[in-house]
Amino acid sequence: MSSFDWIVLSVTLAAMIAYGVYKGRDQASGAQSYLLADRQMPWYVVLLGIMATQASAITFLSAPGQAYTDGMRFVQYYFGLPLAMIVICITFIPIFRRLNVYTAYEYLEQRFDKKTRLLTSLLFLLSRGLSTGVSIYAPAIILSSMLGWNIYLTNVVMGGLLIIYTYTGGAKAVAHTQKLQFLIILGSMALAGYLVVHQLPAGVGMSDALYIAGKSGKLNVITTGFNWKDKYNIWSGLIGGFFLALSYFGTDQSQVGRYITGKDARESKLGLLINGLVKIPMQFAILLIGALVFAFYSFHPAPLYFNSSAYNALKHAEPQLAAGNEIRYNQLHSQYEAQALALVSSRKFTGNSQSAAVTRFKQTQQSLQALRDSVSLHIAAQHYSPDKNDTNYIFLYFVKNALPVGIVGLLFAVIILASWGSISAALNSLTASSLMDVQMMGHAPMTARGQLKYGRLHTLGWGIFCICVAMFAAKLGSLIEAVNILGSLFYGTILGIFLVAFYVKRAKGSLVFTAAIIAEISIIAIYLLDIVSFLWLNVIGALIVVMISLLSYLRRK
Amino acid sequence: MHTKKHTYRTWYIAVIVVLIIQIVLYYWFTRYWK
Repeated sequence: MSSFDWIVLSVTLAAMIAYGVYKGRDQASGAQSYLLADRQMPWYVVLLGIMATQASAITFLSAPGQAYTDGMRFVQYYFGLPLAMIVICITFIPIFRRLNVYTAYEYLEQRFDKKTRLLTSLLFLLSRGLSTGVSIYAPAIILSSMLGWNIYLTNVVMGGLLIIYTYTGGAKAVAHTQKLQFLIILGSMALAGYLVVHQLPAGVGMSDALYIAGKSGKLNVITTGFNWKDKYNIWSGLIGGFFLALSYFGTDQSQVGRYITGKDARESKLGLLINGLVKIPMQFAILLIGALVFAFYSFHPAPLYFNSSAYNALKHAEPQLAAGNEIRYNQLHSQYEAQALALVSSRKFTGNSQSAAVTRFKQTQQSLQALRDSVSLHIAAQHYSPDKNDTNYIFLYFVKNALPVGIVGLLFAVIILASWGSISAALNSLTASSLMDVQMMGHAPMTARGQLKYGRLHTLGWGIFCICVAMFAAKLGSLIEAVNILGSLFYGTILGIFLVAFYVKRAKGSLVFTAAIIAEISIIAIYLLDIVSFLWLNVIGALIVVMISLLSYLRRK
Repeated sequence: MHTKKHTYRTWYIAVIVVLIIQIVLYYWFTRYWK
């Protein structure tokens, strides 16, 4: 990166910390200010807050890479989200607002009993605390590899600096910085999208790029085939995605804590409903950037492996193998680029029907992919990189090598800001839950000053905890995936508890508690037996809790 | 009170209609560029 890029990166990050500290300076009302931002936020701050909380750094790294390798079908994962927004507006928001809760789990004590509140909040604290640590490490390992930074230092930049404003300003600082962060992120991603098309060779336009991406199977937005183990198709997206979004937005404090900061129920509802309108087009646009980057590398030389430091380790250890692979790869890629150009130029005369040329183009593509896969497997088998996934490196490789000076710094800043947005919300929500659901449950109310003091202590404690998880994550290896999956193992059960609370009026605390334990054991068993894709685990977990709780009607008869 | 309820109902319908339109458009997009 050039020195100008470093200046852009540092100034953006420093300005964000200063803005957060400034905006969060008024904490006169204790927990009301620190955890609920005095309930003064308009709908657009709620909207940008929930979007920034959901979109972590890995979203912006992984989504374009995913479109590059697997195509755009990942967008279907969000199809159930708008429907979940409607259910949350009808059921969850009115109750959370009426009871004036600090956390979602507080409601469960009023509806059932203390132990159900404690169980759900502990499940949340465990899964969110660990997954936040991993969500610091996952982008940090990529940035440290690309910028040559020490991994521990990168962890501090990714997950430590934001503690400054989250500690001083709580929910207010989180809401205002998220608003600014997300606007910078959206603007920069739009600029990146424009620049991909702008950097295509002369005579190759957007339509040609889409043609190449389409023929390569990257524009497969809708896939209709059904398979229990398939993660992304329209059915798992609509049904599994609906339950996942309902659990995430309705019962995960990191989201609930954002929209209960709304000035009134109307502002919270508008924020969620507009999220339901814009979320899918936004993901579509981010994935489209990935598909266009794929087209870009059909006309320009692309690396054999995008994670340069892992590939350099292979080159250093096995120079002959690497040289042999590279000669073969360069030959194939030159042939592939020529075929792509020929396809695009002949398309102008023959239209879209040129099946023989397309078949040859696809064959070259398959040979390239086979070579990439064998290198990828070899790098993983020989442990040349702590990170086995090359997909997440594709977008930043493009940014670093193909975009102009200044924009590179801005886009690296975007990745860090995206990380800050979701981690600061996570820290604030962990604080809300550990303070209100665990420390203060059953105790006499504190003074505003006491609430603020303990709120800040909890934020600092969780910040340090998450950084420690990130520091140890390098040694966890494949356990990282287990931590990532941890959230989806609990989500269905927690959603089930809330659905029973809202809709099964007769169900009492003890029955729900037992139902939750049975559901959790079943979900872990189903996961270990690897019967269905993880999106379905939420559906099954929620349904088990609801079904068992419905027994309350039978018992009374 | 009645007006307020009606306002949200319009929003809910709008969200569902936009979702359906998007799915149709994405389906067309997938078929067109296949």
